[in-house]
Amino acid sequence: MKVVAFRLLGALPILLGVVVVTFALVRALPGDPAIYYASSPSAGPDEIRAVRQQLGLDRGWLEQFLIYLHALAHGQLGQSLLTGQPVLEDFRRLLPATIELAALGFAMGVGVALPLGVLAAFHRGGALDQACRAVSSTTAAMPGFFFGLLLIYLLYYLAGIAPEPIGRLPGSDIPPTRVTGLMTVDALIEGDPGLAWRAFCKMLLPAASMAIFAVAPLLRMMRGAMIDALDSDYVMTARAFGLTRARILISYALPNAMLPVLATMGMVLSTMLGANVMIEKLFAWPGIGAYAINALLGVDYAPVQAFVLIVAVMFVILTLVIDLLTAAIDPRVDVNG
Amino acid sequence: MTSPASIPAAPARIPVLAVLARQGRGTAFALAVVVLLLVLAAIGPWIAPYPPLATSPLVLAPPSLAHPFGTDHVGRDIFSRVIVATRLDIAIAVSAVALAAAAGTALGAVSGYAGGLGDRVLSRLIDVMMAFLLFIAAMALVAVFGNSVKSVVLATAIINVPFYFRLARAEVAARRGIGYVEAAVINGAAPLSVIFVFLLPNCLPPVIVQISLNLGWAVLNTSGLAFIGLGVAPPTPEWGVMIQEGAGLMLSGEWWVVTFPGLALVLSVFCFSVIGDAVRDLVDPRRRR
Repeated sequence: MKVVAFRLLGALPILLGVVVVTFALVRALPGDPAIYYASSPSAGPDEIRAVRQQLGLDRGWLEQFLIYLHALAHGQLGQSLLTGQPVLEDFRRLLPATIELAALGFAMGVGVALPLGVLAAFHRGGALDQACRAVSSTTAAMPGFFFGLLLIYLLYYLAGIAPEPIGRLPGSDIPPTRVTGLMTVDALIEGDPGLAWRAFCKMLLPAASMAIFAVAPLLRMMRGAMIDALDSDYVMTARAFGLTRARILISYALPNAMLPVLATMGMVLSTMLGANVMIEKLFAWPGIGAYAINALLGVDYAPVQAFVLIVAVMFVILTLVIDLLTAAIDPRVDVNG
Repeated sequence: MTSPASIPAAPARIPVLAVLARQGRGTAFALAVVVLLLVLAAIGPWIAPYPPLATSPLVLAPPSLAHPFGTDHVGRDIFSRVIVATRLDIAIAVSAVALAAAAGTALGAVSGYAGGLGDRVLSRLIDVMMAFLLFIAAMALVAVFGNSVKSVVLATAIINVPFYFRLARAEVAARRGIGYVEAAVINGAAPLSVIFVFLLPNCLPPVIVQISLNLGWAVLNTSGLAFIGLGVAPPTPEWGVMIQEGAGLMLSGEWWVVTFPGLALVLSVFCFSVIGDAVRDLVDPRRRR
């Protein structure tokens, strides 16, 4: 616990830097929100001045920044001008959708990449290895939004087995009472497994489009690390002692090979968090990525600031989790270092 | 596989290509595609069968002899648009990566050589830049600079500066106390000439590897931004814009509008990364498996 607190403290300067840079970036956005959000295009200078005052835009940069910091310290992220809601409220509504999708996407990526990587390492140089190499090279060059569109064509239009690729639920369904905000979990809580299943099916295409970003780096790293492990002296010793293949893999090779793979996961997660903007836009997924891009195009300061900040915080926390996992697997790693 | 000894220490341009091409069939193929892309980027607008913006009454025609890739929702020839788009996509990627490499290595080298407070502040600033997710930072920067091609180049360059900065800084900081550098200083070489004549050439190999791996990523980044409505705007022919314009048509089965620009995108990124890997193997044979 102390270790976690210590590491979080160490991330604070970076987060403060992120806050400053985000603030500066967002203030530098072109367009005057006061004119944008005045009641009518023909609003007079008086009204525009009033709106500007109301938004605090008439004060100096430093003062605006201090006000922003003060609000941030009290958990306030400002008001979205587009939705008319506090940003925190919007995020509370939208974040579960993003997390649900990203988690499934990450799970799919890991579920495909790691077994393939291990297989490729076992059959080094063989046909299976070549096939895995082809998979990783192709997926590395494939942008998720294009892959998603191919899936839509093949599975929705041609085969007709995928649900309509828009939103989180089929139009005929009534969303379950909101408890966690995760559609599948809420449907199960409501005792409607059919609804949960339909919500799950809706997630498959967008999640697969996000998973495509994770497959190549994880597969390559898993294969390389597994080959290193299999070539090592301790695996040779284990073989000489006559341990079974499965035993060698699970007890000796895999834990060692997982270390570099875990390190890669941080990079993969950050790519996926960024890619989620494109995928949410493509599938009309009501998450924070689509929300942020709309805010960005609509000169809406507060949500963009909050989005960049929240993603950076999520990234720092995920990196911390990965460090802790690494320490849990590898006794040589000192978490305090 | 060539033995490390056969790699010339100061290779001329042609031998490098020849050595690259001998890395295997895959690399030779990638090299051929990249050369084709460069040729298309140079002469594309003149060899495209139709003007890329010319509409026609023949809307959403499937691929045929007259229109090998079909036509889009306003009757433009997709084949011509894919060809003409090559120039823009390649130009954005090349200029952004060149800018990032030049600015990043120069800054990193000077910072690493000077050391002190300035170096520490700059390095922390770079750390903060790394905390932003690449695509999201690119999104925000393009929005700040205004929605234009120039902004995409600038944004892509800025978010890539940290990688080159770190490479150059580490290399220079590690070498500045070495004998030959001290000899140059004693001989009266100015700090800048020490950095750029004696120190910087040492970081060229990792920088070249980073550049070749970066190019494909820059193409992906540009088209991704265009896809969400930032940077290159319709009706300009660009692969990401074309995919975005045709996205809705996938629901009604007009697959060719999206698929051909998408394949052009995937193929070029694929070939850039194959070449990047080959260059890395050449420069650093230890990483070969």
